[in-house]
Amino acid sequence: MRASGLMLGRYLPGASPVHTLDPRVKLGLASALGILIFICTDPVSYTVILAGLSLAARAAGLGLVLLARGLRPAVPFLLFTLTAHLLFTRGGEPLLAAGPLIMYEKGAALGVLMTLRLLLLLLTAALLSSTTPPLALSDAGGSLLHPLRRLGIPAGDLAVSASLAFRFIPTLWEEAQRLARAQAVRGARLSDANPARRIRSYLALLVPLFTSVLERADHLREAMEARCFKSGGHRVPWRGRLLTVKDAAAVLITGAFAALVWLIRGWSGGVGVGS
Amino acid sequence: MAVEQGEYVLIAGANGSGKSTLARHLNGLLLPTSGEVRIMGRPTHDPEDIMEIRYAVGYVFQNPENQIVAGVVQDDVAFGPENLGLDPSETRIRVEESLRAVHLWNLRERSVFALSGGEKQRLALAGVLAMRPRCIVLDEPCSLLDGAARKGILDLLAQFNREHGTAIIYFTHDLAEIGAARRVVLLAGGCLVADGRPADLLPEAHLLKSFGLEAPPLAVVGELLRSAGVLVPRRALSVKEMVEALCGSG
Repeated sequence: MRASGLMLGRYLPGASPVHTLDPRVKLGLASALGILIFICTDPVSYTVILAGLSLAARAAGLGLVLLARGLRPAVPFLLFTLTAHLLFTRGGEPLLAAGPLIMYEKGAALGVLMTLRLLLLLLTAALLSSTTPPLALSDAGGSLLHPLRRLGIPAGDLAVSASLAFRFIPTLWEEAQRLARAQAVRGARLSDANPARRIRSYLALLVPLFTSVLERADHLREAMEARCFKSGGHRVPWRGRLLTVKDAAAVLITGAFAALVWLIRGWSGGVGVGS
Repeated sequence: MAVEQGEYVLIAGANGSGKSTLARHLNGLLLPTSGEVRIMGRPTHDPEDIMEIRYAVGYVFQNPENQIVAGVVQDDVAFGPENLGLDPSETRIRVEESLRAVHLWNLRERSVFALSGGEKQRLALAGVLAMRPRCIVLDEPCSLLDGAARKGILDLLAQFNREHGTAIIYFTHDLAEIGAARRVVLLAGGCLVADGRPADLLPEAHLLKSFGLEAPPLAVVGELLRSAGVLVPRRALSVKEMVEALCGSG
């Protein structure tokens, strides 16, 4: 049940130690892990990171396989990355040749590593989003970006925009379905076997949907202004909470893990491929 | 036209009479191109005062769907206090107080998508109450609700007005939503055409019809009874008052 319901970006409620971590800590750690994945360029580090993610996924009560299943929509993108490197990156000895297409040693190594890197980044994002409610995530983002206000970055506005986007996804989806039904009863061929006709019908759906989205946005602006919202104003999120021992432990464990990966990266320096 | 602290005013008009335009002027969502709107003595066109005015005048829109900004009930109520920069502990107190007032405290953790139309409109009201306004402006808040949900909203408004002295300015095209209003203002073609007590205006079916409005059913019943010689007072505009009048006279 759970497996079929998992999608990249979908929250799966739970009470695991990962679920109950402070969203700010989780977002910070996931970002740090992302940077680590970018810095590392060798298969040994990637294997260790994958093992670490697997442990974290198990602690979240999800498991790596379940997380990976949620990445199905990203498979074409991963395959494209792999193929592009295999076909177009040159360097080292030629491994295979089929007519004008030659696969080089460096292309194969870089293709595999880049695909692995993307996979690890997506797994990290999936672990974060499946254990943190979207609103908590956007609030955490706003909170972490707060110090950047001094540089003129509207952290509060960004957090509000992100939470509004999450809030309105289901509403807009309903609106789209309502419009689709309204057009279908008036003869639109939204499920026509002919793809060209189907695309035309869907394009006709886009205009009213876009108009309705703009109208809603205007109503929402009024409603927010009526409740004293001011762009760049000083909002104080009411769910502010203090960090716990558990959060500190998570930071320490991840820090120790990152140090381990860093050391391994030093030892296995010869295998790496530059990005 | 002026509205005093603690008043409950019903402003009625047909479609296109200028209700929403007037309502939007009352907390600075629209600014006058001529003339002046003053809230607590401050003109709405002064940008310095606009936040103070919006703090004092809460606004409930016709469609609750368009004014709920958060995905979870209690987060939406907290939106206003958060914008005011209140301390989280104070926001928590206000969220609980407002949700209890509109009988939604038990649903505080619920997704807003799981609420009925009436619950959504009560949530919108709670979002306004959490800002502790001195006046609440409501722009046809019950036009999308069924009878029971409408009664729920009208009872709550009467209660806030009675217990907290919150001024209520209620815009509608349906005079049956008179609720506990003690003053009726009629709009037609963008002009104020009548201003008086419900007992004086609501039984005047012909006058109301000329402005595109229908007299509320009980006012019509009262007129019919009076023309048949049964002496029910013109102020008997609620079921309770009508029953008392009839039982008292009978």
